[in-house]
Amino acid sequence: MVELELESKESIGKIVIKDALKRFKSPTVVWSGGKDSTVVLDLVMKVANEIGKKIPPVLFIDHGDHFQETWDMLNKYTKEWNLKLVIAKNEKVINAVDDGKIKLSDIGNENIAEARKIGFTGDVFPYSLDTDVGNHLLKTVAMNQTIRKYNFDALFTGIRWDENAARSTERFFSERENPPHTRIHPILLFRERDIWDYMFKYNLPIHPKYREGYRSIDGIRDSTKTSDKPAWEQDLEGTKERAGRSQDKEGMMEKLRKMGYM
Amino acid sequence: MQYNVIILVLDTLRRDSIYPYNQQLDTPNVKKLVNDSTVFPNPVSPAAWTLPAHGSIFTGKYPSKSGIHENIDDIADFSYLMDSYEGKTMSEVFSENGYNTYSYSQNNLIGSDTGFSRGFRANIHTKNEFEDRNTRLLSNYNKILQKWGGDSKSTLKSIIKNKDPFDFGKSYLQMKIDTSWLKRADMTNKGGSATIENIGQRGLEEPFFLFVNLMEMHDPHDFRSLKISWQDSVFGEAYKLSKFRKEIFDSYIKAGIGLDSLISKLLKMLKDKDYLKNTIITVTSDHGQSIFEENHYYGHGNFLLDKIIHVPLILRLPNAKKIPVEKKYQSTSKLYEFIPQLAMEGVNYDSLSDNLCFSEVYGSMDKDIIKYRNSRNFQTKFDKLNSITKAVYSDEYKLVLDLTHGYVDEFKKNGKPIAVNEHKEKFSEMAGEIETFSWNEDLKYPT
Repeated sequence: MVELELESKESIGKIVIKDALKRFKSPTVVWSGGKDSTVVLDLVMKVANEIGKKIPPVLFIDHGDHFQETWDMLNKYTKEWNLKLVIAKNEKVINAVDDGKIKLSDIGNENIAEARKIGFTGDVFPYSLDTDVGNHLLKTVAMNQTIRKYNFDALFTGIRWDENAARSTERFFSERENPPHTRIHPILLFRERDIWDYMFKYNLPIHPKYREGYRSIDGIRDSTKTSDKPAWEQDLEGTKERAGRSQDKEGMMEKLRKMGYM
Repeated sequence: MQYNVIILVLDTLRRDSIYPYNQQLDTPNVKKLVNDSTVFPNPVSPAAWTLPAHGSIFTGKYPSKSGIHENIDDIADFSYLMDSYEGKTMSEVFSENGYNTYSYSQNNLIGSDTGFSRGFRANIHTKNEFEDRNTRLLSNYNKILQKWGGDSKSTLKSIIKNKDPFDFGKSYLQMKIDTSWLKRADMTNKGGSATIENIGQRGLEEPFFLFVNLMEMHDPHDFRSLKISWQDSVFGEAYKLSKFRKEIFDSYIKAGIGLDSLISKLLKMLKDKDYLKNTIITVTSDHGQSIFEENHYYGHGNFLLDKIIHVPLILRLPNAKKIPVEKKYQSTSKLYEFIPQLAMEGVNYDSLSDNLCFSEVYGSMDKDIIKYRNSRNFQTKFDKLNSITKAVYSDEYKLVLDLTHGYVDEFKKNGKPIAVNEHKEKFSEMAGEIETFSWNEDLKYPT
């Protein structure tokens, strides 16, 4: 199959970012320390510099279960790149974790209503990002609260067409409601291989867990190694990138995204 | 499920001048409403005067994000700001969801002239002779001061020199007529009662979204305050009047007590028409009023003083249901999402409260202040007015920065001033919040 060169994909990503930085009053870059969002952040920093804009604040979603290496990366590069870091955290849900479980009665009415909205009918759910209710409350709800707090009108995110069927129809600019804002997707065209090529081409910092064999990094309890080889040496074209993550099970990603997930 | 919605903005009502924020007030009807309502503990207006504050309620955005605010560089033409807003307004959201939308506004700034008619089926600007007379009075007063000078000697000299006794006489006479009218009038009744009667007579078709702005709390509150403009109080002209602070304050509170009859009338109308069981009532304000409390300032619109941006927020749900609220901050800009969710989705939780909120002003609304150039410390005061200023509340702290000059205007903990060097970490965290909030604005931060 004929593919665009990486350089062309970079250029397209930059055009999208340039347009967004001029258009929106209050954008933010969602950054997890993972490979995709690091590429987006790098592209945004480059474009902001080129057009004389400040780097937008960076939004990190703290679901309470991060590898220490994630925090180390965040702290190091926030300082080194002079970023304004905003942490989105659903404190009520994280504070309610007891023995790996969360009781609905402990998380407050807003979270209960959000749990019901995503279709959860029980009273207790596991502290995990791999359930729709856990993912929704720990990530999407936290993110939405932060969008409201700072009046962010646009979010740069690192989703790609090749990751998941539910993401394969996304557009560069995608409007959302509740809260109203626009999602900006500059690297839709990048394949997993392009991401690694970009990381090495520009010598970007690589989360140490990729070297240990993780291909996709999120919560400690939900991320699993797919091999002992570094991520970029694995069979990227022949196997699934997010194989160990049940967020990607049929239907679940679509449901999460309908409720505002990336 | 579609509940009716009423948003009642009691223009210029500060938080400490209505029950239950002020427990001393004898207002049985407000008390009755409050007993059936959820009272939010720390509501904050995102702006210090009418237009941007209403802009935030209607768009859900802070003034810097909606673009609806005054402008430091020129005297803004406020008529286009709301019209050019690209998102949906709250009235449009209700209208698109099948609501009948009505606006009854006594404030000239909130109506079809300024684009606030967007999304409303009916826009009724109810007559407010007080505002008309007062606006004309201040305008003539300012014209006389500016054109002919501040005392009789310089005025006479100027009239002779410029040969314009007729023009002067016309402005002076009109000023006297308006002053006399205002002095005789009952300043606690500025037409709110007639507005509510008007709503009752014209009727409402369910489901409805009714927005009401009443001007009872707006100045003037007292014949002494008739001639005080905010410019006067900033530049020292009103300093001598601050000795009447108690009288002016008492008349403000008197107007606050007068709200009781308006609330009574509104509740009665809703009950008589059987709307009460099916209607969400929100009582709030766009901003408060400083009555010489800080820096001898009288008015609103230029500074982010607590007396100006602390507003009330009382929410009565159908059948007097209450929702638990948190002791955090509630920016009135969040009503934009919250109220439609309550009305159309029946949510039963507090999504307004947050440990962080902002408020902002973008400089003076009026460049006439140059006429005060001979007053004491003119330049310092002029600079202060012509500043982009932003406030952030975080936990029990408040920080206000003058971002045009890089000054710290206020740094407080639990309402008491604290030293920056003794709370460096908190100061830097809060200044960082303002910087995060103000992406890409060319601002000067204190070093």
